Amino acid sequence: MIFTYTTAFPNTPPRPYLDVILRNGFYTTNKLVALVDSGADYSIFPNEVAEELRLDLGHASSWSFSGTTGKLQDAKLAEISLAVLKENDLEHAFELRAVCAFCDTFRLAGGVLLGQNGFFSHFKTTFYQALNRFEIEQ
Amino acid sequence: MPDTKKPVKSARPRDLSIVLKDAPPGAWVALSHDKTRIVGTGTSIRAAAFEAQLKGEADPILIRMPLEGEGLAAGVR
Repeated sequence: MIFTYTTAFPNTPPRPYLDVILRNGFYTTNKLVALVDSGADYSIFPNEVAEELRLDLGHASSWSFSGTTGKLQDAKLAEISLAVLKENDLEHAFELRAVCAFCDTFRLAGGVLLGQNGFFSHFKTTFYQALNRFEIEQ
Repeated sequence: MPDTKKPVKSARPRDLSIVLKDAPPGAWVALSHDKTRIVGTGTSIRAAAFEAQLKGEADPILIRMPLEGEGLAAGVR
């Protein structure tokens, strides 16, 4: 399925964003705009998303990560259902089970990331940056 | 076997920057379901979604604004 790049903010270049919904049992999130980021090892969400999904992270595996400052941040890993929406935002394009990271110090411009484990690992993803398009195939 | 896949066509990027131009830096923003209006803002997803609900938007889409002049170099491991 082909998606179009989005210019999300003033004075920023177009980027590959997808709209996603997370689910844990009966609990679901609102639709979230997520950056498709091949540089991230896991998909990462702020902790409040885990709270919304009533995820019990007490015994969850820990994962430490760092961005460009090299400063370590701690996250917890948990498996959830991740629905990727079509561009009409009405229908699901894909739905998958994914291990994602939840972090209370995560403050990314845009909000959330879709990374290697649990997202890219499920698909063949091709970026046509010059055409403002990207393709996700299962 | 010949490659029968259709070539990918160029597209204009989808543009949220006009809708978001006056949104507070660093805030979570709730957009209307058609992404044409800001229907809530807050320091958390919950706060922005709650304001959207109060304004009658049952299906908001949430995004976090960058800080003033903030770009992205987002590799994390």
